[in-house]
Amino acid sequence: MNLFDVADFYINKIVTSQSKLSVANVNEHQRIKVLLLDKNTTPTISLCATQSELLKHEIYLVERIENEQREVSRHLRCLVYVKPTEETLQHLLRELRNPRYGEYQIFFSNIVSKSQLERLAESDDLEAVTKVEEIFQDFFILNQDLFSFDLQPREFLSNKLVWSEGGLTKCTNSLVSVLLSLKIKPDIRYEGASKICERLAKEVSYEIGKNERTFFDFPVMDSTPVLLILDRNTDPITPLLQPWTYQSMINEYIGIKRNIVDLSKVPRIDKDLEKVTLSSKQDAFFRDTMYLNFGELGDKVKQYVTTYKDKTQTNSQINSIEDIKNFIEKYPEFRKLSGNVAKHMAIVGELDRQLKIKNIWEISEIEQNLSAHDANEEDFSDLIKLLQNEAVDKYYKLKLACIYSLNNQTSSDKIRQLVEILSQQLPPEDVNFFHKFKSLFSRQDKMTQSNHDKDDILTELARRFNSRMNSKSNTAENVYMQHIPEISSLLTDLSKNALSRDRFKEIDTQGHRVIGNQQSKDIPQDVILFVIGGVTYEEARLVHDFNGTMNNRMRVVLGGTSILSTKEYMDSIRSAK
Amino acid sequence: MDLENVSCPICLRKFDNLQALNAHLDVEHGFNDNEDSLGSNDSRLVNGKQKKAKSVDSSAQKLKRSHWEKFKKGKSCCHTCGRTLNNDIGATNCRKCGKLYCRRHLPNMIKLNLSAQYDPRNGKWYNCCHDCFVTKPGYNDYGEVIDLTPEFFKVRNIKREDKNLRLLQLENRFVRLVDGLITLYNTYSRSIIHNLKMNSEMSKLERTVTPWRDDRSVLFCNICSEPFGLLLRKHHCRLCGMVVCDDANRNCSNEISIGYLMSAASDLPFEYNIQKDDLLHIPISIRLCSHCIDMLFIGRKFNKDIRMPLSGIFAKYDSMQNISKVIDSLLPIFDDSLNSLKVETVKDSENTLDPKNLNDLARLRHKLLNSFNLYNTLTRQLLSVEPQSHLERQLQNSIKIASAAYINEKILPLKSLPAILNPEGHKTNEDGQKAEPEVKKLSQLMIENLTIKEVKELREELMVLKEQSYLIESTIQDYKKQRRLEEIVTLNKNLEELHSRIHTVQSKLGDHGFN
Repeated sequence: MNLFDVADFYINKIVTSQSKLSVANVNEHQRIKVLLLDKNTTPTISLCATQSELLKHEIYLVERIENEQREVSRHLRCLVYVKPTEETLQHLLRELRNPRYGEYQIFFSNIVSKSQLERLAESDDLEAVTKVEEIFQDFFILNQDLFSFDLQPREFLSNKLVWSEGGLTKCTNSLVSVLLSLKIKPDIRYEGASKICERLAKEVSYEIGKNERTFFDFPVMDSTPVLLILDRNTDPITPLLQPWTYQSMINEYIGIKRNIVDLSKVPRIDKDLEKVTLSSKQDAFFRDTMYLNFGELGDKVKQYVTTYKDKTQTNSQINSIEDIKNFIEKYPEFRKLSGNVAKHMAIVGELDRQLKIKNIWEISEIEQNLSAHDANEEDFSDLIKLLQNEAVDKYYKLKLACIYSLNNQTSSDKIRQLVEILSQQLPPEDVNFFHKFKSLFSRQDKMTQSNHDKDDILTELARRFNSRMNSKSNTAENVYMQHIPEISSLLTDLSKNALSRDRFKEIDTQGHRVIGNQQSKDIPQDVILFVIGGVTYEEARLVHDFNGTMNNRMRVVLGGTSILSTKEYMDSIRSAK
Repeated sequence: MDLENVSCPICLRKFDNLQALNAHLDVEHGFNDNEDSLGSNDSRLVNGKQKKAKSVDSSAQKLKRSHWEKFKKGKSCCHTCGRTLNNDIGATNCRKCGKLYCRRHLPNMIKLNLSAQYDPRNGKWYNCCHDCFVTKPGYNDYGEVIDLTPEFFKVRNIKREDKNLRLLQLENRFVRLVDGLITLYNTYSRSIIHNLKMNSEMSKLERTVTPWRDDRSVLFCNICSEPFGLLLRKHHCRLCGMVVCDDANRNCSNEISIGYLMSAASDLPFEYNIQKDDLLHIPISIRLCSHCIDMLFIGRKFNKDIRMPLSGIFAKYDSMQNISKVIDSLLPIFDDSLNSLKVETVKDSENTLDPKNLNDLARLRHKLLNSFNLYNTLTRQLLSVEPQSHLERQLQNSIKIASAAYINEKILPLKSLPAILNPEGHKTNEDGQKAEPEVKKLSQLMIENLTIKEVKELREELMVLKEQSYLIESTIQDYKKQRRLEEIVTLNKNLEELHSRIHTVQSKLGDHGFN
């Protein structure tokens, strides 16, 4: 269940695709290849393949199918990789009626309908197409266990509780492609209280049932995998807290979109560093550090720079021909290293700067205390103090108030006091937002409360397991990382097969199973967690740690409609109807 | 006690029998503290309360045990961590492969049938080792791919039959029309009197080839759907008989000269030969709608283009690829012999190396270097071809990067050879002379792969260095006149350093330098 493996497999499938004409004509074997993408697959490719990888496979040209100004060159062989949308299909039909290139091999990133295939066949008068294949990567792979659809809530919800028509189809299709790419036919469970979860779960299950024979014909596994569909709004605290690990901090403070970090807003940035790519697949240093918190990160970067300096020293002494030769030999590696060092230095420097100017250290400590402790006078007075601090950004004040309201529904006294201060400090629309937020999440909190109670009946042994999990994934002594996202307890429950059946309903997709015998279900060994409304990189880290702890006994892949920063989550609540 | 239906006291999971529950407890909740069971391979069935389970179970079916590895005290080791198995770390067989493991390294559960084979449907849960777990079928399966090509071809063939019929009809009409027109032209064009008659005969012929659509009822162009009027005249396509307009921008129909049409479709069985009968400049044109033009000629053009021999950068690239194939085939051979040589050197550094091997290797290396050189020249030739279009320019850029990367990657093993050859000193004089220029060539090759930016930087450095050395030289001259000998000594040292640096930069720049 390593998503990078999936990506590599599919990309390899595309780029190594052999020409069928070559058998007939020996001279044609070395045709230069052009890769034709559409607007959906371009990011997929750029996330998973580097230019040099493409060049190695003689792909010397990458074009967009939407570009009508492409030049004709019939000595080129064309590899098409597109998502089967209506828009793209129209472009493709036009392309085939008067082909610009000599041969076409078409790969679709998701299921192609029969009628689409027929239309394609009809327009291929010249028999330029030699291959049509479906591969399933209609989603964006960010980490080896994290994927996203890059859909903002307003793109798939028509209001808070209802899917928009196109959004549901898009999400369902993408989710089905995730399942197919991992060759999984899961039991589907979903957050029973959430209407949107229920709808998506039913839709996915319908799609699986519809395509049972053609696609989902996988061998039975000894324990059925589980697809667990969650609603972001049942755990609103997690996306509201300031994150402290490398990858999530970059997302929060600088912004990382499909592995590209935009540093152009950083003061006095080098021109080469305005846009850098950051992928745990290609960058070994990032792979080592992406889940580290800021303190650990500082040490690592220091170490990295030291090794770099050592290497420069050996390189700076060029006296003999032998030295030159050595230098030249190591030069590409050396240049790569120096670029990487500069990149990470720039990013970490910028993070540090932002943390300081935005007073994140104080804010985060209070946030964490508020979310982890029960109602507490001390925390409250700290909060009040910070709210009255002029140096703190209004956005963070509002966010802090929201976090307080989540954990302290009952004490209306304090809420009133809070509102009073807020109305002094913030503009009226922000105060309105606070009220809206409060009413949105007032009910759900009670539910999570009852969930916590259940923990008490667990035996000592179960708790021992729990603590082992925690000691690894959560450094309790760190005041900035006290809060544990809810999916942690969900995963623990899942691994003990104790996921609440009242809260998480089930759709039975495995026809052979007798309903009513559900108690005897096996512990799932493969789990896909999907969160409607987006996931955070903090949760991705948790899942990664969980996978490490479980050591293959259970494999989890996390996905969401998007990857959230605190700001994006606040905005999505703000814009919710 | 209901032995057939027990549930785990911790996670409430149900089990079919106690044995399975025990296995579950051991693995999932870290039980397995029964030390006394060591030595008997089945650690679970000896313990107090489980004895009952055994007596019940033994009458029922039992999992195959014959393949289990026997436990030998003090000798058996865990197959994962290699520790000697004893009471403290436990000793249990993987129920699937039968190997012995310590408690920590038997973490997984797998469904097995009674003969210890993986059976996901009807099997029961047993402990297994990590290896058995990850190698079970379907475990690391990913990447569903559906090949739609056969289905696509099937649909395409059905559709094509129909289309081919229509194309055949069109081509027949086209041939008849062209032949008829040329015959008429040949009969009548000689005299001026007949010219009028020719025109009427021609339009008669055109109407026999295809029935013309009645144009009185047609109000819109059949292709662009614009309404006809004073400015937009009606025309008939001479092949399909449809009524279309002749708007210059939309190209719904065009009059095309017969000679041009015939040469574009030279594979059709015309009565007349375009070259022999000198028809290229015959002053007759035929009006065709864009649909018919597309149908007749797009395919012809496409097939012609594909069959065209490679030209320009494509041809060059083709030969580049051939060379790279040669290199790819030679390199493994070279690597192998180099490695064996290295092993030899390490084994008996006292003995002299077999000169024959060495010679072979040197020859192979020479050949490889030549191939690289050729590859490099070809790349340069390819890059010097003036690109015909933006597309070709893009291709050139990509090929440049790719070939540089290729050379960089492949040339590495060649570098290690001189290290073996040179310090040994066993080679003949001839070999020594040969090795020298080769080293140079090698560095040259590398230099040619400097990027433009690097060349620029190096040139800048060179310029500064030269300026400095000039300054120092002039100062030395001055000092000589003033007899300040002590300073001259230090300056000379500086100058030497500068010269050596200039030399390195120059050699790095190679051809790109300026003299």
